[in-house]
Amino acid sequence: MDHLISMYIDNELSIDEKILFVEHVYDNKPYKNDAVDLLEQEKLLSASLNKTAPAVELKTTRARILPIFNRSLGWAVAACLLLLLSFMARQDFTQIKPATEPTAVLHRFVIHNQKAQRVEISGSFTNWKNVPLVPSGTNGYWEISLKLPAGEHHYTFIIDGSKPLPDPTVATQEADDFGSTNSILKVETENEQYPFS
Amino acid sequence: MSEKYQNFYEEYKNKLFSYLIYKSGDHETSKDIMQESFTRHFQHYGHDAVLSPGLLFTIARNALVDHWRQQKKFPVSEDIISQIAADQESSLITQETTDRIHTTMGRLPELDRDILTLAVGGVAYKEIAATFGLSIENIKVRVHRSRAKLRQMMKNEVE
Repeated sequence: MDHLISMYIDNELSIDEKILFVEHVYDNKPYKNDAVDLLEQEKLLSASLNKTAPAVELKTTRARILPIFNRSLGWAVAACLLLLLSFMARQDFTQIKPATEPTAVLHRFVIHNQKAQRVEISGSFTNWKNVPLVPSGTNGYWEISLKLPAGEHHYTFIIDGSKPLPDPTVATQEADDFGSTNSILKVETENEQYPFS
Repeated sequence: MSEKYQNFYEEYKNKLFSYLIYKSGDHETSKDIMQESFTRHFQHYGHDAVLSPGLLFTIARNALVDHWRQQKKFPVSEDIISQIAADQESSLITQETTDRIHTTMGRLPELDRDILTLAVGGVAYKEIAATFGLSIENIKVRVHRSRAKLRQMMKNEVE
């Protein structure tokens, strides 16, 4: 019950908790006094701790499409490109897959670790949640097949719930912000791999 | 930078800066690490970054520790208190009160101090829980326990 005072101060109460809190403040004078004391203390804490950030310039230069390449222009260019490619391949237009087709690709991850009791994978495609691999046979191979959208994916294997291990079969790696190393996998769709199929 | 991330930046810049000032006691260091943390947060997680404010604080904590390692100098609490007093912008409280609160907070365990600083700064319990890998229930208990302890210690000093 006491921690409702802090939740009140921090705007963390649900509606039901608010009812409970108000009733308790009304019925119990020592509780009300505690709440007021902590609110007074909060004024000092807040004035002491909360600062105004200075203006800074953020260097947020992610690779992105040129601004002029907006959606409508993008569709027009994509359509022209498809037309051109289809002429070059002397193919019927109906055989060309539309650009809007879902572009997930099934990718099989395999790792060999005979000592592990448990192997999981955690990556940008799992929202960095751990997803277990299953043993493949009895020789220490673990595997999982996941549908990945086209693009660049970052991931790592997790051995026995705690030890991160980058994929030894993938050469491209990067250090993350938490002291570990992630593997980088670039997934291309069938359309990208075989534009004329 | 997208408008979505710009809004996120506006919402979190003071929260992160206040936390860094409390941890480091140094205005320039806090400013540099705040800039670096937002940049890395956006570059690493892109537009999904707005869904994970906890990661912003984790990046900032790691960057601060890296900074101290490079400087080969970890600050001691007395330095931090004097720097914070010098940085004091509010005319509502005296330097003496600031010193007292910081000195008293220094007697709380470090994790509880960090959690309380973020809660006072207006960071949601859910995000504080994500930053430190704890449950929300645990954060509720720790935040209140720290406030109650602080009040008791301040009272004892007066008496």
